[in-house]
Amino acid sequence: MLCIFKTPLEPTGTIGGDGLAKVRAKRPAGDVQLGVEAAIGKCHHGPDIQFRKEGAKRLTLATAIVVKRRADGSKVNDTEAASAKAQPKPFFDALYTEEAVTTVTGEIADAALNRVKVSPSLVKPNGSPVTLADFPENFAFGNGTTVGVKVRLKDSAEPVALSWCLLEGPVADAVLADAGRYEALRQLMEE
Amino acid sequence: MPTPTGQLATLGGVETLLNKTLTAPTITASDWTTATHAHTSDATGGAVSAGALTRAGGNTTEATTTSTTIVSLLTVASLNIPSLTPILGIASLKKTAGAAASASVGLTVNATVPREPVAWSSTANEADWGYVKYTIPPHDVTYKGGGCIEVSGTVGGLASIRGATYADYLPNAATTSFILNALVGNASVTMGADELHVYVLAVS
Repeated sequence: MLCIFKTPLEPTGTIGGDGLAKVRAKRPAGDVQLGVEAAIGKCHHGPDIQFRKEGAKRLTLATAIVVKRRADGSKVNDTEAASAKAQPKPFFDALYTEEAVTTVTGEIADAALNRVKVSPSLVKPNGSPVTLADFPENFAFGNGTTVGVKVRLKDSAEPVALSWCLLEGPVADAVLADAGRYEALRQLMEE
Repeated sequence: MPTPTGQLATLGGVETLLNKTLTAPTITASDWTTATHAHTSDATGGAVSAGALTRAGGNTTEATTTSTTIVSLLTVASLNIPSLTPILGIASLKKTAGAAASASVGLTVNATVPREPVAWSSTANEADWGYVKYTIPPHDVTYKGGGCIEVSGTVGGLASIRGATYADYLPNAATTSFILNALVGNASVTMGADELHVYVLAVS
């Protein structure tokens, strides 16, 4: 379950590259994660799990050698690729290139992981709750813990600093069943 | 000598002079601290035309992550840069110790991911720091890509250029958002990114 919170920011006492007073999250993601995993439970760290705007995805990585036309970089079909490779190498090299391409495909992960809970302190300017639909297209939350990401949500004039963690299924069940447990998580992430 | 109708100025005195016209003066002091010279108009030292490089936007709030899959770490939104205008971007990176694993950085332009993250740090269990530099060339339906992600990091405390990687298939549209993507090789490592600045180059 993806849990999204507001990030507590504090001044650093320095000036940012934009000339404004610089602020920073009170704690980096690693420290926050240690606190969450000690008090609440495990975050999801599997390299095949990525939470995106569309939901939690289980990734499959596949690498293949593809043949491309040197003229415009377009990929040729399998028949033309076989024909091209049958030519003497200088002719092939003049017209084609070979490239290792890794494709990432993602299927929506199981329902236990594909859940979202947004902190009650995080609302849009009109007071309505924030949902994944308010995030930019193609936005990726990844997994584990992330802290201090400034995001301009839909219908918002100013970006807001957010943090999130991806909890494993049983941990999420326990958090949803116990309001006190969720409040403890919220305090770790927001205070 | 004119007939005195007011106060007289002296050569060495500290005095405020009004309504004087200096013809071909020689100014010998090199300290212009007290002169108003913002160069925004003729009255402030003469207007200076825009340079070849203009900052289009940025994100100066540090973000950190332990994610082992791609996360959108630093976002610069509300851009509107024509696709045939060259763009440069730069950001600072850091990685903590915690495990023998690297940290990687990538790019999303609008909703397109022209390059998956590439490793910028060492794989050693050590704290590293570095930078990423993006070069986005003019692009359209014919010239689709050729952009470049140049990364640099440290190994054992020594800075080293890690190399450059192509960014393919840029969207054939104005750039409206610029996202620094990241991931780490092990969740016991934290990667941070800060001070992402996006610049456009003059085209005329």
